[in-house]
Amino acid sequence: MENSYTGRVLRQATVLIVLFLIPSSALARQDTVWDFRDGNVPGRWEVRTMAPPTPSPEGLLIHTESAGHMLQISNLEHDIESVSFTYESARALKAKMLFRVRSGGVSGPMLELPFSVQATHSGPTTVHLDVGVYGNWDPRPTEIGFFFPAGTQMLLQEVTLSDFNATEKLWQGFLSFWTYDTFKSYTVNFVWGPRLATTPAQRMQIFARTPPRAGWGNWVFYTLAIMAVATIALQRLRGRIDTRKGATLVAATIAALWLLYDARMGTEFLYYAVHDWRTYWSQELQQRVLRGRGGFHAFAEWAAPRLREEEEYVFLPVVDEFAGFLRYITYPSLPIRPTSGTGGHLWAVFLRPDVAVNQSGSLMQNGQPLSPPGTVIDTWTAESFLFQTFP
Amino acid sequence: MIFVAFLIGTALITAVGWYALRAAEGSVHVLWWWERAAAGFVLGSTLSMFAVFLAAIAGMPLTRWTFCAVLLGSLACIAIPVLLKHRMQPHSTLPTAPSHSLSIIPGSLLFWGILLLALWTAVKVATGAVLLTATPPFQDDVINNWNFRGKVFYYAQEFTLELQRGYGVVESDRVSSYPPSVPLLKTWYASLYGTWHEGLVNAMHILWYLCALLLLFGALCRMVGTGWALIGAYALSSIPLYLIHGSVAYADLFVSIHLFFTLSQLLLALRATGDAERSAHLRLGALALALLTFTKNEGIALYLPILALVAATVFLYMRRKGAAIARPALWTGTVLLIIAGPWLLYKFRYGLPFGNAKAVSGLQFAWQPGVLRAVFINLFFEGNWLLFMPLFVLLLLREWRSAFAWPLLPATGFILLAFLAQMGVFLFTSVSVEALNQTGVARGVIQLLPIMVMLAVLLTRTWWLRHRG
Repeated sequence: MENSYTGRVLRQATVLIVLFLIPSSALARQDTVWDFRDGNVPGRWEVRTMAPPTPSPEGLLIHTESAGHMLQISNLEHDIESVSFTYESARALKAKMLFRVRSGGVSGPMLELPFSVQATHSGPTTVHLDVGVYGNWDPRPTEIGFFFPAGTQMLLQEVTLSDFNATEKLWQGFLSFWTYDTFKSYTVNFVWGPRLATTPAQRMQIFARTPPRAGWGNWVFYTLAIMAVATIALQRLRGRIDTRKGATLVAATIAALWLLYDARMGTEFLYYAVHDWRTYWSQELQQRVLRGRGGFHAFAEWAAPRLREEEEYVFLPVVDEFAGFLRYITYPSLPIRPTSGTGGHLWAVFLRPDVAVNQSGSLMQNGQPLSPPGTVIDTWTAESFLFQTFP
Repeated sequence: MIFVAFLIGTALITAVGWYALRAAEGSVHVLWWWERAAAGFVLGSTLSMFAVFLAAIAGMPLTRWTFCAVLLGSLACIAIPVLLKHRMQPHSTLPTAPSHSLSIIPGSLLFWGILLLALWTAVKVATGAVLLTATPPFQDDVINNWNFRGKVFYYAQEFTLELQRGYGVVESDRVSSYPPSVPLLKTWYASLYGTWHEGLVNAMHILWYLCALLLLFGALCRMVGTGWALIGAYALSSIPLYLIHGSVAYADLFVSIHLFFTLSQLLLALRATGDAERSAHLRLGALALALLTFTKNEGIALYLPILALVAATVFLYMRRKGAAIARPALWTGTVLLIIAGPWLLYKFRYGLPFGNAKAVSGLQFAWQPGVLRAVFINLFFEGNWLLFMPLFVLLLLREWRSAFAWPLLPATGFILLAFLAQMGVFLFTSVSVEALNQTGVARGVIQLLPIMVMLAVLLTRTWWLRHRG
């Protein structure tokens, strides 16, 4: 009796799930693609205060000495939840996406979404914009466009404006649940845990922001636990299962959810080591990058033996945070300030494009002399080196 | 050679701890040998470095020979009387296996399940060991406190409060106010090896993690059997932030083991059937309590008053039940005085504060907005504790009759008092920034976690047995 009842419940649940999914999957994901290749220019664009872009077989050439923008009226028949651009660019720059929100059903103010364009050296690259990060994003803007700063040299190939259906969002949620953070400074104090995104762009950038802009994965566990316990309690109240079996089912549910969560967080922990292997341990010293601190730790490993030969040295880091770390690594050799006047002869410079050696052999920062004359004794990169002043 | 240095360094401090525990046990051996080894390593670390601290402030340099002399001298002073007493008066009771041991049939589903989880745990621990020993120092507290002080002691070859932070900055009160046990341990390993090696001085942290799992397993084994003990050990091992703390060079996990050993011995004393066994557990707990004061500042400032209250309540309860508690109480007071006394005197002598790198005396009290929400998110939504926190709260509510009755009352009371005290600091003082930035809340919970897991397992068993009949 009990088994046939359970079977009936399972069959009913399966039917309900399928019925729920059918209408959702019938509304497929909707994309509007503006393909600028082969000389195409989709839509009618209004260009202001910048040189008009030039259509070409490879894409839309945007080459402007002055900042400006290009806009077109939006006649999209779907919401915009994600935007991606495929481009090539001669230099890195900060562009903006423009959209005019609706206000009371009519056009309202123009809002701006900044995004970074990287210099591309080996072919086109695609950037995905998580538009939901902007709290005032309107999924049906009346106008859409771009702002480009002065000096832009860019080839815009394709823009995709996407809307996702429920099934697609569920799939992104599943993928994002298994998207891992890396070991960061805050990891010793907390870990975000699984997060739930609804678009690919959101998923790709989950842990790029603090706090992450994505739903809490714990809601999955709480929802499943509450549903399971409520179902078991209902069956118990109806007398279909006894207390013993109910307790076993509750314990099994909690155990299963715990094991799932352990699998999720345990694999993230293993990923910390995988990430360190890929970016640090498996790389040559000069290519090593550690957990968001770039090449600093590799630089410190390279510079420390020389720095330890001195009692004091001057350290010019790109951020002050690195000074404490280098101080620890080189201790008992200690860093001093450039202006301390205690005669430190060895200078360590890390990622300082503003610091260079002038013609008289002194270190200069933005045209101002920093040190007595000396010489670069070892070079890590053009912006990171060791400098020794003459006795 | 580095491995040899680690082995020798670990063996020596474990031996000190081993015989200290044997001395506390007296004629009744209540610990299994692997429990005594695990507790011996952790408590022996604190005890050894306390002895080194005394020698250092008496003027002895912090060299390899001083360390060796102090450790060997301490070992001789503790071990010889124990061995002589053992020869004259052999130990009587061995810890008996619990009546409800788990029988695991090789090849059964349970066997494969346990094996799989054990392998999974081993993989995670091995990963943690690699992260701990093979990556450069990454966290602020490592380079500013624990490892930094150890390095200062190593190069200065003396115990000093003055920390040269570079740029002309000399600090002598903030992190120097912490007990020096953890930094001295690092100095010990480096002195033994002959050079400062990050992997060597950090390796002990993952060992502490393993000791925490072993000690939790042992305590639960004795209380409720192997099966529940395995559940408890797995639960603790699967909590992400606890594993992370075993994989970084911080000291909160170190504190958690001292706290756990103190509380678990109190609970075992309550369950003991004879005066000799009870007294052994009480003395063991007292030793751990005394050594707790030499771990981190919160050992004295936060936990000692609460544990003193809990212990006093336990003693009064035992006396009401007709147990002989005079001598264990005297032992507790004596050991506390011997260990906490000199450290407290030193702190007062040099005006060292009691706060967490901040003085508590200067704090002003006012409601701090946003803290409750930050704590709630930390406990119930972030991935720090898996599902442990909601389960723990539900268990306390569901099994409140057991949780707030003897023999579990000391553990429940301690957890709630300690948690409320921590929350009080976050909710009403400027230390709230540690909660709002999520930098301080978890540390306090880490320190309480093994006790919480033990309590959760005991309450789960109560629930299970009542519903399963």
